[in-house]
Amino acid sequence: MPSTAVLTAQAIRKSFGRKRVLEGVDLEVARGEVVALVGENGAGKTTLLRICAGVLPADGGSVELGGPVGYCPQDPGVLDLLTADEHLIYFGTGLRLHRQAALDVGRRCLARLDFPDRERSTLARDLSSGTRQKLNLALALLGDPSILLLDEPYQGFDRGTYIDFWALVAEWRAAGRAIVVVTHMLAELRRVDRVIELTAGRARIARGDEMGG
Amino acid sequence: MTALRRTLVAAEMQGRDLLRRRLALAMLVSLPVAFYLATGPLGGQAQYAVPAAGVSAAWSIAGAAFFSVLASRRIEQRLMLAGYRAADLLVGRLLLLEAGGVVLALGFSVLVAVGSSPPDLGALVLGNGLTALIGVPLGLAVGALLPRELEGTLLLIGIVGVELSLPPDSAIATVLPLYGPGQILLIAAGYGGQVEPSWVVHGLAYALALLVVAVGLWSRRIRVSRHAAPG
Repeated sequence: MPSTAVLTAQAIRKSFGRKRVLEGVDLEVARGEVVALVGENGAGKTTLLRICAGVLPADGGSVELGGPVGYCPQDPGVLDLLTADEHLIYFGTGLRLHRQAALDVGRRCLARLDFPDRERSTLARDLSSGTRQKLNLALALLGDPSILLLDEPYQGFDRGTYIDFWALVAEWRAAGRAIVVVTHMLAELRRVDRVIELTAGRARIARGDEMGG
Repeated sequence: MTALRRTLVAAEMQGRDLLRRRLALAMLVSLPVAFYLATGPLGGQAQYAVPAAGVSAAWSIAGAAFFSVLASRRIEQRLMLAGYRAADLLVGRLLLLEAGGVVLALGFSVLVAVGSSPPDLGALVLGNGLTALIGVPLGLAVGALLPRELEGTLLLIGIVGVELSLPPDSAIATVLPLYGPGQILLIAAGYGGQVEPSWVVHGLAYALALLVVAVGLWSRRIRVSRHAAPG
């Protein structure tokens, strides 16, 4: 493993019933690197990300993480009947932040994502899908993680926010974070350092410009 | 101190989520009230109404516990990644639900005391309190076993329905979770005899066993891997 690598997954295997999803997949991400995971539906992108995050056990292989992880699932992992501020306090407490500190840090994350101030006391179920997704992403950023695992984090974003999202990715990269983004947006692959395509349970490394970016 | 803060915040947030389900809560409370009124004050079966109300209250409490499990499913692993421990979330939930269960049990006790004037008020409060104590882990266990709304709700209805249908001294009734409080509430209603400690032990053992099942299944589901740092 290179000295700068903060995420190393080796020989990851995973099956669901008789269906083999991942067959010996390797993934390595360095500090200040953005890696895109691409592939067809069902190729195992989300499964690999969940295994790296630690929310799904692998059948085989190993994962090493060199720092705290921020995981943004594809399906917004929020409670319908809590507000954005309440989510910040709930998650922030887990990160050892006091209420006001969690609100201060979280509101800064939300502001960077153009989350409307007036929506901070709106129940999550009443937010638009894009605004809800911003909350989902902000919760992943809350602990100032050095590794970001983002599963199609821009779902529901309007065009302006979508572009801002990639500007943020560039900022996070400049700050030394390691970032893995599951994406179907092949047009954006020029913005990443490496592209890993999952096909038939295996990983193939490709440069972004070779993939149509 | 940090663990206590996590537990209290978990209880607070789960409480906020639960209290905002006003319609569901209203239905959970009103159904057993309606059942009691229909069998007791309005139905003329005063002695049957007292234990039936207690068993119905268990359904309400178990239902609230069940829905609290379902509501939190999608964020529990994220909370674990954020630094919570399973014990924080579990104890927070138990604090919230048991407190709510006690309030509900006391409310039902007052309703039944006023509506049916049972001869043994001590047994009434004890029976309803035990009902609340069992109802919470019952709902948690069903939520952990069948974490889907329809199937879980049907299982809860099935358990409580069988409890209500069986003669209280039948062999099958003795192995069901609410046998103990049911027997105590029969005494409260004036069937004669005294509260036997074995009924309390039966209820406490069931509550503990259900909690063990619930925690065992639930903790497997929310488990997260703490990946090692590079060596």
